[in-house]
Amino acid sequence: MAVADAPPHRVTEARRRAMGSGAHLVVVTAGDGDDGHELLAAGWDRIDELEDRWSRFRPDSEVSALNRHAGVPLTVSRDTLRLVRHALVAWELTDGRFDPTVGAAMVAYGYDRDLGDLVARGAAGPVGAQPAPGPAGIELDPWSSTVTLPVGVNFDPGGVGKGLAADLVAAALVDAGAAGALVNLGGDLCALGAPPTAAGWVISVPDPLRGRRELIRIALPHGAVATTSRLRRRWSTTTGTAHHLIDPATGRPAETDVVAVTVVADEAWRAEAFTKLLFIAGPGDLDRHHDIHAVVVTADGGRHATPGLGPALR
Amino acid sequence: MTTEPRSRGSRATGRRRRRGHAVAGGRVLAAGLSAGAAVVLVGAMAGSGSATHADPADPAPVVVVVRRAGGDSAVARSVERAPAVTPTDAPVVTTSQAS
Repeated sequence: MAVADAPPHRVTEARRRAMGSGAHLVVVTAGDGDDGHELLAAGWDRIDELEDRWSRFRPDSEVSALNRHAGVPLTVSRDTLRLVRHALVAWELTDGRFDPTVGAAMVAYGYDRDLGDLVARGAAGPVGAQPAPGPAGIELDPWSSTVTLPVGVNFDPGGVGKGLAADLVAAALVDAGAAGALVNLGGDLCALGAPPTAAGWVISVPDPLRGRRELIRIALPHGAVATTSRLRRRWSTTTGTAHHLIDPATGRPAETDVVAVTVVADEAWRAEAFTKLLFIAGPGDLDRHHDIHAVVVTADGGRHATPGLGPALR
Repeated sequence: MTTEPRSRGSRATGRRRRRGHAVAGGRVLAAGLSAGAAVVLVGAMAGSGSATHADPADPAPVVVVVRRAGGDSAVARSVERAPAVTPTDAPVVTTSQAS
């Protein structure tokens, strides 16, 4: 990463796998010491902690416990309470296009294990896929830190979890002393504080249909970007190829001309949730949301952008 | 952290669920917070005169559920703004790519 025009800050970064995706952390520090590496280590630890709590694929996670004990109030950590509440808010904001109760549909299509294993082996399903029941019966009590899922509801943090994790970890890094921090979890990213370059936090979004070419390259003073695509996270089933973007109304992978969506918002959990909305609703919904920037790419090569991102298209 | 089930008998009394009925100011978040939580929110809002958080320990809500003294409920949404974006050719810090 070039920092030729950067203010007198030190930039430290690292990449590894986390939350089933490629992850990238960047911290900007004011001194010449090793603070950056210490902050990165703390950031990875925090990401691991959130993954331990939120993974659908770890039987000892809090999300797995919630799904095992539907109908019973469970005491959960503040992180998981926050996750469930943000998922409910996202459901509200997206008119239900993002729905955290698609977990059963995901399982019906075989996505009940790590994606690498699923892609390698394929799935026997779909078995019993049904429309998502919706989160209307979920009870959340912040004062006792309990969550109750209705019987029959399988909570899936996908669609908001990585974004929220990026928000939380970026904020934690700044709180811990970073002048600036960026947390990128599988393309869902949050950038806070002093950027590493004079231009700002410079984010590139690859074009999903044109090989190595870029779709947009933008500079942010701070903020969040999320991208989703049906060209990723695909696997074979007995009835054809499935992808991870489930339409809650049908319980099946969304059938749409949309190939990929990128959203820029103030926070990554919102950006991520709105990618799901626009993926299902399509580019016709772009002018309804004035608190985000977005680009929707369709299978015919169409690139549909909100006014804020139109000039950035390449 | 514990995730052991708690008995329903240990929960706060006076809880009642609110469903997504239309009220002044918006639609109640269908997945309800407890009535007790909402009552506490009234106090917080009275002090600030503006939207506050559903969870005082969490600074990032967008929708807050409030319960007024008269028993009405409403949803207040904070005003979120998309960050400023500038097209650039500057060196890339990171890439947003679905994975």
